[in-house]
Amino acid sequence: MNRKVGLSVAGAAVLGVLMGMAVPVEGARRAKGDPVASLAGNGEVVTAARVAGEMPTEPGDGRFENAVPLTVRLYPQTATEPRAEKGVVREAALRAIHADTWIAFLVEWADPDRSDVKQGTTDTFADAAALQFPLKYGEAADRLPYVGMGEPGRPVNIWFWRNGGGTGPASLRARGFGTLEPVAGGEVKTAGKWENGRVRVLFTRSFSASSPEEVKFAPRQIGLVPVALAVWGGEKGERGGLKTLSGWRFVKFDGGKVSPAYVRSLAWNPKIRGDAKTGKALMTRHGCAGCHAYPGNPIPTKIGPGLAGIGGIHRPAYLFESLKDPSAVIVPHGNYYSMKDGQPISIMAPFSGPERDAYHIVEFLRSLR
Amino acid sequence: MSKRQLAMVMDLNKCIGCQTCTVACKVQWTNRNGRDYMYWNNVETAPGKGYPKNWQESGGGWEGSVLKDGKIPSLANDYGMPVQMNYEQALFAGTDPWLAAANNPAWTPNWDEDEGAGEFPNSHHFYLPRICNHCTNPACLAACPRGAIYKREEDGIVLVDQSRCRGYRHCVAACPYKKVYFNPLFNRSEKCIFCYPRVEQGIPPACAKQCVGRIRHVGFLDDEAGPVHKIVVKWKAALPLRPDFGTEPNVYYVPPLSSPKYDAEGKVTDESRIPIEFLEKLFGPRVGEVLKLLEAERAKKGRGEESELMDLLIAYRQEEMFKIR
Repeated sequence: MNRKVGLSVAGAAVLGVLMGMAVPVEGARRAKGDPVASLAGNGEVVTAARVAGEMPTEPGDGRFENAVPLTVRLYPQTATEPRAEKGVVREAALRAIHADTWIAFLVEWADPDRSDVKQGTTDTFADAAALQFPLKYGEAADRLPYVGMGEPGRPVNIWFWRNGGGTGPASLRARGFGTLEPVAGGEVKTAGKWENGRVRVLFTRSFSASSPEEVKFAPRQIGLVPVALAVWGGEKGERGGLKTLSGWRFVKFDGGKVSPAYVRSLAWNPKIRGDAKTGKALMTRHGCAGCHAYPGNPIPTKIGPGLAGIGGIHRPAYLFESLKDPSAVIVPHGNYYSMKDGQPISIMAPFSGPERDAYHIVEFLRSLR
Repeated sequence: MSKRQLAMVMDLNKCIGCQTCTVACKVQWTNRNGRDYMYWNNVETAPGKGYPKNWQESGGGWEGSVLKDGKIPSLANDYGMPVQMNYEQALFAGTDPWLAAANNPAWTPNWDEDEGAGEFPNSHHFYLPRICNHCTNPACLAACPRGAIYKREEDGIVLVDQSRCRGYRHCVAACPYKKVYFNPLFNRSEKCIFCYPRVEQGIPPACAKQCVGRIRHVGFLDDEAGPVHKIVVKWKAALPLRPDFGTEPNVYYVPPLSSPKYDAEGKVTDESRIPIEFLEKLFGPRVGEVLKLLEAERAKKGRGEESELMDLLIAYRQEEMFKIR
């Protein structure tokens, strides 16, 4: 998996050198025939294999062997309080299969210390996993929701499994940290199994949703669906915001329709190629280091969201937007904003330095993963 | 901060540790559905480890404006599993030893009841009844990432919104008094609700109404005609528990006067048996001053003079202890 990513990045870099200019890495791949090649090359696409029969009911369903797993890196949640400083599960495999009317996902990770809900205890937590989908995606959506449980105006649908259950419906909705609520009448089904030091969790649902607060699948119209992952290591006390999460990934339906314009909207097309090392130095010069904790920053600050793993969690376009317009998406934590005319305004000033510096900083942030 | 604050005063000089309050609360709220182990109201012996075990050392509360880390107590080791007795065997089969616990508890509420501290004849203890303090600056509320805990505008009662709670237990860790409890059956946190459904009908909380010692007064802090305002604000005769935790509790305690110590010859001395440092740790630096006030007012009453404070604390008529409208 890592090897594959390494190759494609190297390949893109060669292309860039050949063209002798500041060429965006992803942009260079667009010319190829397959519209999702650029995303796939970045290791962001999981293909949902087409299978026959009824919806699977258990994680061991043999049909998942038809699906190529995507290794998904997970990063500790450090944007809001409480922060997961280290994170327990740092990598999971995602598989998907589908038939005419349903889709099924299998999330799998290594877990030597199985953690159930222990009956009648007050101080233990169970392992858990969740998939997250934007309610709106495709060309109709202006952009992806904030990957940390969505944002106001860009809600997400979350499918949640907890070892031992007991947390109510598996289908939930959110529009930002702290806003999670069950979807009434949701029909997501989950099943988990711990075996030989690995946890495997099955998530299934029919394409059509019974609630308008649930994601819908229509591969003939849009065959590429954004999905993100979160995993909780219960034995280390992970629950709620104490978790590891992935950036947005994409489920590509075998035989589904993908419009090039939609894929283009997901790409990062910087005007200027940034340099991570220069960006790192600029983080101090522009004062970023005073409020944001990140590897290499000696200041133990929690004024703003933590940036460890931010390059793995967020897409560069989002990072660039956050820099230029911090109030566009505000992580809902009381310390991060103030109210002005009834609107939340980020306490971070919009980046006002040279345009070039912004690209350098984004390039540095991308390297934090 | 709420507009008004309903508060409670507990007079520790009158508490006899009978647990009528505990039972009143338990029967009303916590004898079923995953709450069996919870004591929203408990009465513990001080000095002692209390309930849950060593709650005073369990962390939480505030360090300036920053929440301190706290621990989540364990059911078996810190709260104590409800003890199952072998009634069937003992009463119908006649086993020997006769009546015993069927499980093997490591700790329970009142495990160290009446132990106290000090050597005979200078041993000492008093009873410390505890409910949620419905704090002005609640650490539980601040710790909840979901905003599931709120403080009511009209009376300052702190509640866990059961429809928002997802059982993360950050509130349990954050409360330095360990008065938020996790319900493992429903995967939600629960706590003393100051009997708000009763309060809304003008009826005092069950623990206060049922108290046979008449130690509990209930009223609004700003109600000059109410008993709480008179004892806490006018007479300054009651103090919050562990004010150093920084949460600004709204349960106030009239501190316990102490019996005198005996010397080696068995003669009564001027020294009090309960060390003042112990009381200062529990109730803050003003405790000595309050004890002097209590002694002075009690002496007045002894001389047949008037004392409004003593009359309030004696509580001749139970209905005068409560003014909750």
